[in-house]
Amino acid sequence: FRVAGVFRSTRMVLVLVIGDLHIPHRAHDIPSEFKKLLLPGKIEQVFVTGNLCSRETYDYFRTLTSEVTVVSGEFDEVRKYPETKVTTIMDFKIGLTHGHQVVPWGDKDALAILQRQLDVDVLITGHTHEFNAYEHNGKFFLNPGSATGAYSALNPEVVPSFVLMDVQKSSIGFYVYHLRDTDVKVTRMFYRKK
Amino acid sequence: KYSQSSLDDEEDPNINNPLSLDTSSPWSKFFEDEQLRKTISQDV
Repeated sequence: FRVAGVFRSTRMVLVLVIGDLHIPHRAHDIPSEFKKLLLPGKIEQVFVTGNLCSRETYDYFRTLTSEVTVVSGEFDEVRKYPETKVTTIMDFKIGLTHGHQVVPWGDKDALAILQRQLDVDVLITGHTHEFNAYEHNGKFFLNPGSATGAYSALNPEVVPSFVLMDVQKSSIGFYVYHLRDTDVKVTRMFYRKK
Repeated sequence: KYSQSSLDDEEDPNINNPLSLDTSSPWSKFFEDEQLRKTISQDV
């Protein structure tokens, strides 16, 4: 008898999208201001764009939910993750890859080619350490940035960020969390499947 | 703390977001109810 569980899953799924942490090489931990918000029992799935780079970081995500999907960044040597992962949530096909394989890095056209190859509604990538989200040809492209604000050669002024997706029947709400000094600032976007 | 009307809270994603710790957030109420639903389904 699982009425409550079924009710929830037909209504919405909360997915944490996070990555490019580079722990311990470029950052010592996820900012405490973010960790304070990431409480167990809210998030059902975690999508990690890669470059964690430690086993401990993976274990931390597992304390939030058992559903943790990770793809491999070019510095993930501790454990072997797949290069690309496609997951279906509600009516949405969601593709996840780190993005160092997509050249030029962060390029709109290159990402659109990958999106078509994977045949996904939402393509999530990382690597640039810069939050980005936009709709293109009716598909949605998301880069959650770096949750630790780790240094990047591409982007010297990294603002720590991650995204929470509220996946509903035919729309997704994207909540974007940026850490500005010691304040977490939240913005919201929507994507509706056509 | 600045006083805000409830309409502003509804509109402001800084308060109205799933990870909000603000008790006036609609999400806080949702997760409270969710916890209750889980408890009920376990008891049934």
